Amino acid sequence: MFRTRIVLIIAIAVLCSVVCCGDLRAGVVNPDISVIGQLIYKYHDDKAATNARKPTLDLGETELVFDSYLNPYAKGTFVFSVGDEGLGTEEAYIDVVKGLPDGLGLRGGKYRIGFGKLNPVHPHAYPFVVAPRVMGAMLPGEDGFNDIGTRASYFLPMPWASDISADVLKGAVFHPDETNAAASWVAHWNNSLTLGEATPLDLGVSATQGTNNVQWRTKTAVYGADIKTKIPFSSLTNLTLQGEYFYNNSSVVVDTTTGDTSHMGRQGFYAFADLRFKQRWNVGLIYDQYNPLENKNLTNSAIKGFVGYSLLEETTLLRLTWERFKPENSPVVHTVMFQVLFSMGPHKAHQF
Amino acid sequence: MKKQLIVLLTAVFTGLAPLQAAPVKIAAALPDIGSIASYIGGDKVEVFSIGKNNSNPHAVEVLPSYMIKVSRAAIYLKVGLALDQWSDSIIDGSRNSKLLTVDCSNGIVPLQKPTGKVDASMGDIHPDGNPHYWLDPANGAIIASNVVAALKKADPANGPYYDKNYERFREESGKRIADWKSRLAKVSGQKVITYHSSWIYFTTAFNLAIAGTVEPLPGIPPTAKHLAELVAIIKRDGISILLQESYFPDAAPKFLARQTGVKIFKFSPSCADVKPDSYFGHFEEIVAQIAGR
Repeated sequence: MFRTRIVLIIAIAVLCSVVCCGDLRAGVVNPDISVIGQLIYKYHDDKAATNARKPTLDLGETELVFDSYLNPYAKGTFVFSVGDEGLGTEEAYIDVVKGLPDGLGLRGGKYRIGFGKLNPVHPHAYPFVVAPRVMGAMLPGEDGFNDIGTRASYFLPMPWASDISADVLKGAVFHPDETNAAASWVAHWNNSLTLGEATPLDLGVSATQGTNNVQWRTKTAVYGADIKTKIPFSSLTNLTLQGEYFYNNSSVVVDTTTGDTSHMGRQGFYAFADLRFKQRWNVGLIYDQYNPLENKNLTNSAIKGFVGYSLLEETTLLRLTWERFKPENSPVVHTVMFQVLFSMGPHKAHQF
Repeated sequence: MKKQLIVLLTAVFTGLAPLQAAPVKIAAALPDIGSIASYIGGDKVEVFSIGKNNSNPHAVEVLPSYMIKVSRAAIYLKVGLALDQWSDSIIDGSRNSKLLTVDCSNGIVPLQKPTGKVDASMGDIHPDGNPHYWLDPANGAIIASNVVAALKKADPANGPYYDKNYERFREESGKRIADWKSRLAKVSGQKVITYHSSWIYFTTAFNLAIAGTVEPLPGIPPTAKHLAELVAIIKRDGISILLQESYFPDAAPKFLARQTGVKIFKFSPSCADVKPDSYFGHFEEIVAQIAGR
């Protein structure tokens, strides 16, 4: 598997070098290319899992990003991930950024869905190593809510900054074990305010609905609310506060002969505080809790502490995370992760 | 009468009525460029800046509110020279088809333009040259000429007004530069230390020589060894001025000050706001402090 991964990375590197030779040919323009790699050292005491109390070293996923204008009106983005399961297309989409009536934007392809604040963000841009567990428990998809679809977004004519978007998705992420497709939808409304001179405050709500069983047409709906602010204390120190609440309402077939269904409502949230100081350091805490899919009457919770250091912007980042995970009916699991994140290529701005 | 009413209504609905024209909305990547735009545009423009004077212009976080503000703007003034790559995210996110984007580095002669292969082993280096060009006050007139060209495209009816303000800017700039040079004549030729490589245009304009930077390479934090080398350089050359950007940590400059007695001058590389007099006022403050040390 490791050899396969190396071969894939080399193949892509060769492809990149061929693309770069396009400089010599008229009419060929190179896209921006960046590669993000990581090393993850992990130690945990979960006796139910493999490698309990044994430190492990993993390469994690390597991410390759290509993006460029396709024409004066549209941009294209490709994000490939290379991991133990081989090469995967994490995202491939076209954004129409100009030429439409003002304030209207269109996106088509495969992309991370704009549900809430954290899901659309690539994990390398998190202040911690892995996403809070509530995300996987509440949203469809194994590695984030990511699907093929089309999005229309529009700036609402409000006195403050207000953006509303609606997606029509293939919906396969709601029923990953079935070959028949049933479309799903997502809606998101984000409002950005500025408190005082320089304290941004974002408030948003999201909703999605998809078919979790195509044969019986049972649905999963998820509703979310998100809040984020960044409080500046000085030019070198600021505190980011962010939280999201989720309510997952699913119908599940309980008798496949009669098609009888039962409804299950589960909820969960995360909240974190991330203090950035001395230009290169960050330290914070994140707490999340949720009703697991296996039993809605249980409540699992986790608290993580994290610290990070960036030597040169995002090209070399070190992150340490400690987690105490408490499933309600199982023993506590402690996990320590140390991540070295390294990247090359243009540094794209991160969105708040 | 009926005919006159139809003509009047047609004029109103097609925007031809003699109503007062709305100001041209200008988004500037940094307050320095915004201040120059305010000077040139006067009461015909409404300017706001994305970057703030107390934050690092290399790393501006893109807020959704920036995109929406830019969606309502007519002109976006970029710094260019790869300083404000975040501007591209804001411009694309604004979905503003009518936005006129202007690279204000057009016509600037960049300093410290690397030759040969450029990579991150050289630190956070800019392949097109040092992008802090607005810190040479003579480059203010070049920025102003880019602003005038953009304004004449967006609002041709007021072209003569913008031309007149541009001439006034050039005249005032020339007088002020002569004054600043005479006040800084007593330090002319001296060596200085800077924290980051933001100040090369300023030091070149006023005939100061940079003997070293607190960062061993652009964007790389100082090491103990590098600071020890700087202590030796400062003592050897009798350097008395250290220029520090306001958004960098104080520890290393204070260490150098304790070891050598070098005086720290802490300034933002950008002016405070987009008011018409802020660009010149920023230089005035820097010159006054260095000349009066």
